[in-house]
Amino acid sequence: MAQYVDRWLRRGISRRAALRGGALATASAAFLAACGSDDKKSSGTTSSGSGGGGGNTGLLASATAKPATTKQPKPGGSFAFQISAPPPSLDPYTQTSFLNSYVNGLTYSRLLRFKAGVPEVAPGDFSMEPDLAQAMPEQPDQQTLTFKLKKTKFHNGRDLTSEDVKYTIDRYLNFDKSVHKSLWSFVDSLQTPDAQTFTIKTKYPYADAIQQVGGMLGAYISPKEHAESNDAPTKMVGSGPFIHTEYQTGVSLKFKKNPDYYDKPYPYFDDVTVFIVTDTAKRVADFSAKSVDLSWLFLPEERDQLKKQRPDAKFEETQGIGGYIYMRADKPPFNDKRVRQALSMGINRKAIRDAISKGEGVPDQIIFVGFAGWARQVKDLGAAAKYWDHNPAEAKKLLEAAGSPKLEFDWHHADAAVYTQAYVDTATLTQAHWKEIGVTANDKQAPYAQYISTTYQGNYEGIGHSPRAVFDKMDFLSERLYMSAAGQRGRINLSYINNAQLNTLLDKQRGQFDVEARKATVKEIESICAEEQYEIYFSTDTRTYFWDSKIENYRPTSFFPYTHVMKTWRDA
Amino acid sequence: MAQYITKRLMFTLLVLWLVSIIVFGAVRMIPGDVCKIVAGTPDVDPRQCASIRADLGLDHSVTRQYISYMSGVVRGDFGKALISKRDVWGEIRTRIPLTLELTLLATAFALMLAIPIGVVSAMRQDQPLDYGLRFLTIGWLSIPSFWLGTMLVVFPARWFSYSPPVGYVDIWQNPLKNLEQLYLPAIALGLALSASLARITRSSMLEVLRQDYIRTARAKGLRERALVLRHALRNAMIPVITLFAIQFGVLLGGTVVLESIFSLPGLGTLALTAVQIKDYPQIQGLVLFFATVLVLINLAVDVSYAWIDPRIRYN
Repeated sequence: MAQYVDRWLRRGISRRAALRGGALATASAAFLAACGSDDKKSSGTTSSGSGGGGGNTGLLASATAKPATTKQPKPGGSFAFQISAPPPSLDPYTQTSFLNSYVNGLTYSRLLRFKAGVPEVAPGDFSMEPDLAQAMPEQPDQQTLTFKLKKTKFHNGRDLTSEDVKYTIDRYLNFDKSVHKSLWSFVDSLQTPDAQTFTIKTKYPYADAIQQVGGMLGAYISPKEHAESNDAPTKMVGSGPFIHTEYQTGVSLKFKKNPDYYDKPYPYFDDVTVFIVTDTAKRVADFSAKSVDLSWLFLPEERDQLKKQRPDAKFEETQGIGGYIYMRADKPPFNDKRVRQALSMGINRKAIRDAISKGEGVPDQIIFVGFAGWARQVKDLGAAAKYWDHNPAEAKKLLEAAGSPKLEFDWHHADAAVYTQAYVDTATLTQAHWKEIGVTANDKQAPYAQYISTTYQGNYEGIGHSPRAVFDKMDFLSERLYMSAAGQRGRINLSYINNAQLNTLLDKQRGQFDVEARKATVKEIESICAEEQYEIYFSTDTRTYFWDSKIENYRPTSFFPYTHVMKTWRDA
Repeated sequence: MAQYITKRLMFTLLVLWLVSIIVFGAVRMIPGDVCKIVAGTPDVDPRQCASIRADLGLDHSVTRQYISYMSGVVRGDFGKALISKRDVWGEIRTRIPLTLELTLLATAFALMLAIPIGVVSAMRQDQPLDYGLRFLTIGWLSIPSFWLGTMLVVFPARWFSYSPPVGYVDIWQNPLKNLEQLYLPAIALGLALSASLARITRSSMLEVLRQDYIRTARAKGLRERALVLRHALRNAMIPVITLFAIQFGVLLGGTVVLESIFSLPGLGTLALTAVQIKDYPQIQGLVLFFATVLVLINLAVDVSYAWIDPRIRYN
């Protein structure tokens, strides 16, 4: 409701602003020229900058590096930012929520961490840098990674040794409540030759091992005495830049600087407060009132309002969570690819973008189109690109050829509480579009918790609808497309895809260390998915970060850990 | 009187027992698998699920689960929250002061508006002022508190770049800041209540003002102010208090959304979070708590009738 009201309030102003929005229009035009679209009039937004004069930085996750700041760091002071919902638990072993990753990243160390988060690194850059490790790992062969650890202590005062790292990964692998077992399934053995040396031996050459070691989830190192205590869900004890001091459930988390942090001179801030604000209008209001230094998850409507209300603030857009449809491709009628193709052609993506994101965005596909070099734009997918065109006549022909001129099935999705109203609106609009081609989708909306524990488990008939997850490694494809010989689905293979050719290619890319060779394999996967339409993608969307103009050396990332806040200071 | 109160207390216990059965059964009929919620992921194997279920006592029959739960409740042990593992009653107890403060502020705001409006409206019956006030109260009655709450967030931010302080500060730490955090949600919560109360005050006052004893008091030359405040208003309060008791449940329900909008860590936010993550023990504890509060308020209201109007006796 709040989002509807807020959007309604802003609509008039946004239109006027749009007429004046030269910078944004320029950026959109540049993006349109670069990317193309499924229609002639779509546009994308790529702006970032300070005040109204945002510069064009390229497409979201592939946004390019900027010059490093030349200003002198000013230690001290406090920093406050908002997140959009409370983390279900603070225990890194039992949670996969992105909300956990935000706050876990402030307190816990990993062996490696993302370089992204400073101006000179693009927000979607997968590159890693040493965190607890002294340097990037020694790799004498493709199945061995040896890390030399920095000398440091946990926040409880105990020395951190290689045994702690071994304990942590072993717990991710073997703790019965761990939800990260599959992420570490490539591990064959863990060795600790001495207190500062740690070695991982893998079962097979795994190209994404480094990405997992420093990734968003299942990589945070914690002391055994805390991990196994009853405090783990509500308290964090790590060795990272900030010490967790307070958790006011559902309202805020507080942190103070770790004076013994191993990477001097970080962190610069003395205190960090994370406010949990579920209402979008309140997040906008708080940032407008300068009550917080940083806020996120703003769709174009809120973005334009904040640009008007805080012309001094810096902002940048990153990859959003544009959605997709999955379906029971193992059963009629969806086991006929003509039906899947017809459903895709029955969607008017431009109309949806116009309705929910001010026309911004471009058609998306299995690999987020912002990952330049890895993903192709939809228009570059060859003959299969036509399935993204809104073509009701062709869609009807395909349905008739498949023997399903009239179709009726259930559309399962979550409510707007966590995924926002834009997600629900997308479902409503698509269902209306499908009426044109003789398809009736019965809307089955469920509370988030119910949806995530039923439909998102694959327990559904008909189709399901979800926001897309953010890639932090290319093997993420296996999770959504793979089916083992024993019939075990990849974790989120929700379309029950079982394509021998795909399985072979997924196995192949997993062991390809040569980036160009791996890209070629991924391209083949991409082509198969485009033709088969196992998952039907809507359009990209953006979620804009805003931060105070006095905050220096900050840049948002496409990933969730907020470790990079340690490199930030206030230029008072 | 004592017999009446005892009877009502017995009835209260019966109601609470029935509520406990309904709540206990209802939360178990909600679709979805609790072990996947506890794990926080769809990627959970059957062995892991069995372990979680055993931890929660869900591997026993529903009857045994209920008996176990209720034996804990009577000892003050409402169990542990599913994910945070915090004590359910502990969570409720720490959040009572905020919700109570918000509810009291909303009530105070409602009464401060409602009583004068109701009295003035009755005293100026069918005059322009009466029409204006009635129009106003009907308008307030039509505004849902969540909508008003959103407006109170959006417009001050748009017009004045103002937003109440983020986070939450206890009243004992910083009373002024605490009040600044609560006054907007209190207004949003109290406005609809004030409209209902103003309208019932008006009609009740009109009825009382037509009574013989009021006419007699006027004939004796009692000043209008004393007549209204001392004689008419007190007797007009019975239906107002009844309505207030009924509306208290609405007020508590309103805190769920408003605390969420204003990011306040009260019982409403706790309830909303518990429902979102299907935290069965927390939901059960909260519903039992809310039911107890409502039943006790109704009991208190019934008893207060005798104090307000000595003509009422319970024998």
